[in-house]
Amino acid sequence: MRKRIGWIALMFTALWMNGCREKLQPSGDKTDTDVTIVCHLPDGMSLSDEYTLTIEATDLNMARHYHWELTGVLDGDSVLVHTVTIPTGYYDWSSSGVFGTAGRLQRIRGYAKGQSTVGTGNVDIRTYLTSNNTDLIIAEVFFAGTLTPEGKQYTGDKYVVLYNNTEDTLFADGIVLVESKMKNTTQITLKPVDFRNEYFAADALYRIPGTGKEHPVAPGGTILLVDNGIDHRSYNPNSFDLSHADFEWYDVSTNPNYTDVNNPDVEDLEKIYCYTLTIWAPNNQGNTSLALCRLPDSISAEDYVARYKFTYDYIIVTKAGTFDMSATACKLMNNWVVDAVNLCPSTTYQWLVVDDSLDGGYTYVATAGNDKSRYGKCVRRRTMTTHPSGRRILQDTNNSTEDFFPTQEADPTYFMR
Amino acid sequence: MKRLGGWILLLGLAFRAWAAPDSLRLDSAQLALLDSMERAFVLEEVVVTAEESTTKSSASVINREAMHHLQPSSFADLVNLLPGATTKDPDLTHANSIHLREANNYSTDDNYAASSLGTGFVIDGAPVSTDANMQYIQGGSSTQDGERQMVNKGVDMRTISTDEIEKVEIIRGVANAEYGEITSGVVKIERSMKPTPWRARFKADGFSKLFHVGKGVAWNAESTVLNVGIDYLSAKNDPTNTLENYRRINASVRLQQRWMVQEYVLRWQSNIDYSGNIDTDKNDPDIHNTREDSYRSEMHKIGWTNTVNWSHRTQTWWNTSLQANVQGEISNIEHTKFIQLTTPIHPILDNMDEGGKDALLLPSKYVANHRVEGRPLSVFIRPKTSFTFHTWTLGHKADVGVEWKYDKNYGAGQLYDMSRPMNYTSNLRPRAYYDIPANNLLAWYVQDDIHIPLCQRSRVNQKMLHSLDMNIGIRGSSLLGLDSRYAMRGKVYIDPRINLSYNIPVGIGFLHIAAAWGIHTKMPTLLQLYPNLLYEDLKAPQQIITSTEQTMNVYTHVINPVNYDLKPARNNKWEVRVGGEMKGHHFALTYFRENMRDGFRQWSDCLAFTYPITENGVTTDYTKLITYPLTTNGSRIFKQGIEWQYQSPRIPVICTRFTINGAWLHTRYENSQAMFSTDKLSQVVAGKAVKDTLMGYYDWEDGSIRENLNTNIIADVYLKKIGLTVSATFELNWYIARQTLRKNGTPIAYMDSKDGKLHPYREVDKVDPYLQYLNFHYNEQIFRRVTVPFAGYLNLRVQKSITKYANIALFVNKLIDYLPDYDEEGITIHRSAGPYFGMEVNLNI
Repeated sequence: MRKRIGWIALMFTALWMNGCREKLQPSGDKTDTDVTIVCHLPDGMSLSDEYTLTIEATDLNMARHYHWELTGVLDGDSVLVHTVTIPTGYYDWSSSGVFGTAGRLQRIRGYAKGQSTVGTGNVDIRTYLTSNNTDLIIAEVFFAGTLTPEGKQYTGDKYVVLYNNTEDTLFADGIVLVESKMKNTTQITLKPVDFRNEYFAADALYRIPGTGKEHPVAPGGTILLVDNGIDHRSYNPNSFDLSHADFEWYDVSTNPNYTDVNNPDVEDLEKIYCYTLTIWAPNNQGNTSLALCRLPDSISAEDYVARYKFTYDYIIVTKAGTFDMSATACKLMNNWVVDAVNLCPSTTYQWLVVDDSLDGGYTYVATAGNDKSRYGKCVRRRTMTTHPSGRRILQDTNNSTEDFFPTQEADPTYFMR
Repeated sequence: MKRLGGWILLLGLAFRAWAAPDSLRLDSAQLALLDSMERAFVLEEVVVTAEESTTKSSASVINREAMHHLQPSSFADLVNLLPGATTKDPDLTHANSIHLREANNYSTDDNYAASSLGTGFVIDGAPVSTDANMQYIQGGSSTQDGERQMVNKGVDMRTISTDEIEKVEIIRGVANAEYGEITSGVVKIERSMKPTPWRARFKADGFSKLFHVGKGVAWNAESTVLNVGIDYLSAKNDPTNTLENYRRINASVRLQQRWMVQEYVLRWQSNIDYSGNIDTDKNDPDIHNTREDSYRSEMHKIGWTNTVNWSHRTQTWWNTSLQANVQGEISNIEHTKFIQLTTPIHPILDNMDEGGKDALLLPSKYVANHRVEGRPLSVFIRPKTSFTFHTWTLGHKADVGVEWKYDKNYGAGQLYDMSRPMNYTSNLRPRAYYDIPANNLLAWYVQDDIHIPLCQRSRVNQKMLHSLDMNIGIRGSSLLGLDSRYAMRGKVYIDPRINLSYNIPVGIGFLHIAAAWGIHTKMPTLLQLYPNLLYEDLKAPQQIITSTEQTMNVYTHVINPVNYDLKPARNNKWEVRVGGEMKGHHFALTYFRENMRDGFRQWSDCLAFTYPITENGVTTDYTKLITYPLTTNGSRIFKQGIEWQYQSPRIPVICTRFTINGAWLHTRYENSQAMFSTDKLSQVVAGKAVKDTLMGYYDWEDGSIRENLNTNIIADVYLKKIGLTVSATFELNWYIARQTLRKNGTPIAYMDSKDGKLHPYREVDKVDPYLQYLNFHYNEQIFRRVTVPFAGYLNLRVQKSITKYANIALFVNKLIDYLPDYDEEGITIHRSAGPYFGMEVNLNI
């Protein structure tokens, strides 16, 4: 019976998605339309800077790509306007640009997803400065877990690798690892307002302890955050040794059924808030987003939860209908976030739960959520180049579709070599 | 010719009765004609549907022809004939419990099982007891077992075969005082007790095969009658999967002996029954990695029922009988499962005593074996006497009886190796069932069937009098030998029950107006009275455990979750009915209301507990809140509805009878006491689990309303000359609705682990970092009513006798369906249904 329900659900989902596809197709002929692209620039752009701006459009139905390149000098206006002629359709728009002169280059990027050219004629793209990131970034995430030789799931060996992509020594003290409440696989309509451009709905927050100068990370150095900092190979030959990890997320519990392993040689992360009282680990299908952030002024966990717990309403469309729902999460302001990675199986992507400015794309370890080939696979950031000193310089354009290699063999020591 | 004359006469009479009611006088010739017509009707009286009983309480009667026509695989198929029910495809690989007068989309929550637990099955006068049934895999770790176990849920209808049954009466209304240990109703099964030819039946459908053979013989002018029957059923959940199946063997030997001792008649009836039921569910070694996984549950039940009836040959005003019934069962469940720990460290929880212990660790993978041995024994003894007498013009039939029912389980119970448990997170331990005390129920009843003739105006027929029939009864029941701490100890629960029926002659038929009220009581089962001890295992919150460590200090707190205040579940029901019969037309319309406020529920109790943990030689005390389940009377099941049935006579020429039945059923399932809830309480703030220190106490409505309205129109054609019976059933399900009751997520109070006391929940607590999580937010939309609109089906059944000896039959359920698309919440729902069909051959030699 359960199998049958599964099939029915799958069929409904297929039907529903098919329905969506059809809805994406605006009525009318495939004629050309004039579209005015209004590119809103971030604040603080210098007057009379030279720029090169690339605008790209992807036709979602026909899988055609268009791109235009503009060059010029900024005249103090907060927008750049350009009119193009393209076939009528449904498009994802993006723009990226370089401003300024050598030595003082600023990069911007922006998106406008799922826009129809019918009736509007205007596409607004809000752009923002892509960081010359000055803090730690997420280099590798292993969230799927491994399989035992008997084909059973094994968890406890999940990890996240943080990387210092800058030229300075950074301190990991106070960095918080966060998992989102919402899923990239389930699009919802947030009510009364879409808060994503202001804050992030977080469901699990673990903080690296320290006074601020306790955990230095040299340029090219890594921090390995793991679930259990032990040698997992003695439990599951398909897993790896994580006993050298820097920190482990340890879940306190009075219930022996939820006994998290605590290696005294591996320091524990401070558990600020978590939605579950069992052992936390990132979603093993990779449907959520992970982020690194720094909370303001080392706020205490209790103060943070008391001040930033919030309840939001949303509308969800499922096979059974459209429903009003509510959820409770913790507010994480976007300007606290130092890096974010959206995770989503490639065929079940519906939307991004974080603001475009934090991550404009997503990455994955499998095509479908329950794909068993995902076990043992991770997502890993691309190496852009190698610095003369030998350290890797990783790609960080705040778009994980481009910045990450999906479906990689997990190797917690990859960035240590 | 005579019949034609009869019809003309009837029409004429009807006209006269309408035009001038007082002038209705019949002469003897006309009466004779009517009488012969009546016989003609009786000859054709082949009823292939459930009939509404003409007794005072509302009941459905299903006779052998109807069962034959229905082609059932088990008793579960028969309840599809009740008003309000719709045809369900047999599901023989899962337990089938009964839901009398509950809406079609009834709740399957175990908290509302008091309704099926309280439906009494009485086979040849002997009640079937399930009070000592404890066949389940404790800890809820087995989905295979969860779908099949019937603990505290009453009788599994798929274990009862129908082939030896002569007649079934399902009392939906107020049962008379003879029937006890019920809340919802009674299923009375009478099996064949007469000489018959060899009868054989072979039935096959897509999911099951059934074979039956039976015979009845008589000697000495039927003073000795012996019936024997055996049947075998083999069913699969999926025809292509031979590894998940259900097999049933039922055999019975029934002897009736009559002696004349001087002027007395002594009847002895003795039945020996065997019922074997085997469920298996295994993994396919070719496609599953975990080939060890298997589940097998078997139940072998032997029952011996004896009834001795003593009466006088001529003085028939009294009748005494003694019934003794012994029912023994050998039941085993064997479950093997490959277990892989998903986290590296887990202690072996095997401490049987209160206190701390250094627990060893479980291996990361192992094969768990779990065995459950149940040996329930039930004894039932009932002497009773009936008297028939008159006081003035009143006719009486009075019954007095005393019952003793004994239930005990002699099984070794839950058997497994605690160091290799199936559910390694369970707070239960192995338990022997033979240590559980026996239940002794003593009950008595007195009832009187009173017939009061009111006026004698009519001279046509003795039957046609105004009369008032009533059944007044009272029943007392008490559990004996309970520990003095139980509130039920020494208490006698009294069930008053009244059924009234006022009969009015109308023309040559009659109309009756009936009303009934009664209280029905079901005592708790053995497992509800004597639950397993709970072993709450606790550890230090911050305990440092490394993978190399071989032990872990665990403190075990033993809780005995006995609710000494537990009371029986009592259903208060009343109904009014109007019914009638005229010229072969029967109709009945019933409105009922049943309110059970004290159904059994697994309620969560909460306590603050301080425990010491020793780490590295240092002992520290920790405090946390512990919740544990307690069986209480906290469930309410409220049923109301309207049931109707109309049955036409068989219309000549087209040889067709029409039956229209249906019901509007409204069932409300809810809690009847405030409760602790951890529904949404899983948050951990600053490394502290909110649930460990705080627990909300909510006085809310937790439950749902289920409702349906349906009509079945059955047209059955009986062509006697060619031996063909065809019936078409149009099932019209007008709507099915469901609504979750509105929950107020703000607690009225909360328990704090600091003092283990309840504190009122104030407005300011809604912004406390921890207490804010007790205030649950529910979106209004989940409380909306969800209605599924019209669904229509056509079911077809055909029976044909080939010769005098053979008969073939087939059925197709949902041959045609009409399931229009409907919009719900902006989505168009497209529905579909698949037909279900089967065939059978019957031989009578």
